[in-house]
Amino acid sequence: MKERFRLSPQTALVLDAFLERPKSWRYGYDISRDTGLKSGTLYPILIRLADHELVETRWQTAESGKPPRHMYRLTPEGLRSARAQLRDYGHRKSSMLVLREAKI
Amino acid sequence: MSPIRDVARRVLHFVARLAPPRTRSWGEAMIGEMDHIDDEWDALRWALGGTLALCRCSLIEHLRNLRNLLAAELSAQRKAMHLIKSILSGVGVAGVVLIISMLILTTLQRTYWVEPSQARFAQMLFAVVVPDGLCLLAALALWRPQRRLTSGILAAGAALGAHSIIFFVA
Repeated sequence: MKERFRLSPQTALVLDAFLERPKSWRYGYDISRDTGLKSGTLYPILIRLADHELVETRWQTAESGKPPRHMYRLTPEGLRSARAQLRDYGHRKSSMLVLREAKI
Repeated sequence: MSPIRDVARRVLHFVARLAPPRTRSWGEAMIGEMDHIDDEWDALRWALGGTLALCRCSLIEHLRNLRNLLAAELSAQRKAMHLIKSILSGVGVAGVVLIISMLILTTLQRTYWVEPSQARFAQMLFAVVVPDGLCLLAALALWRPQRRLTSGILAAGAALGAHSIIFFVA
């Protein structure tokens, strides 16, 4: 397996969106709307997740006249990793909030 | 298809075509997705964002490929340098053996240990038989662990042998 990647807030959003419906395939635009991320931010994240084999992809043939759509879903490894990373991320985030509040 | 969407599609398509193969498929994914966005301006924003993402990913991939290429080139150069160094070391070892042998011969001649009548035999012994024999022994001993070094020793030994044959026959 490839090394663990850095979890940015945007990546956390994407993983969180995948975890809402972990078994179902998602479209890029669909994830973009759910997370509020623009395509310029979303696709590099998806590429990185696919490179780390955390996300699997497939093409879905669309109705006539429209090009096929690329779909994404967490792999079993991705599912495990996403849950673990988001849990860690949650802990980190809450401790940072505590620190920030303490400073204030 | 509206002109806005058409322009956006063309731009994205152009950038995707220039992208490296791995990134290109992601460009096709963005184009495919754009055609399922109903709002024209949303589609344009999608295409512009996708174009930026493709440019960034392409640049990263090109740089990664370049780095891999340089690493492979450097590794090949290092291997070649190692080969040359090993062979030259072998030649050096053979040269040192020859110099020591010739010094012994010169010493023997200067101290009259060798009769003038035996000079040619002594020359043959110390200039050919001893150094070549030592080279051969070293080659046999070092063939398995130091094959490249041995190649250098054998090459030098062969050159010495050939030179000696020409010298003594001529």
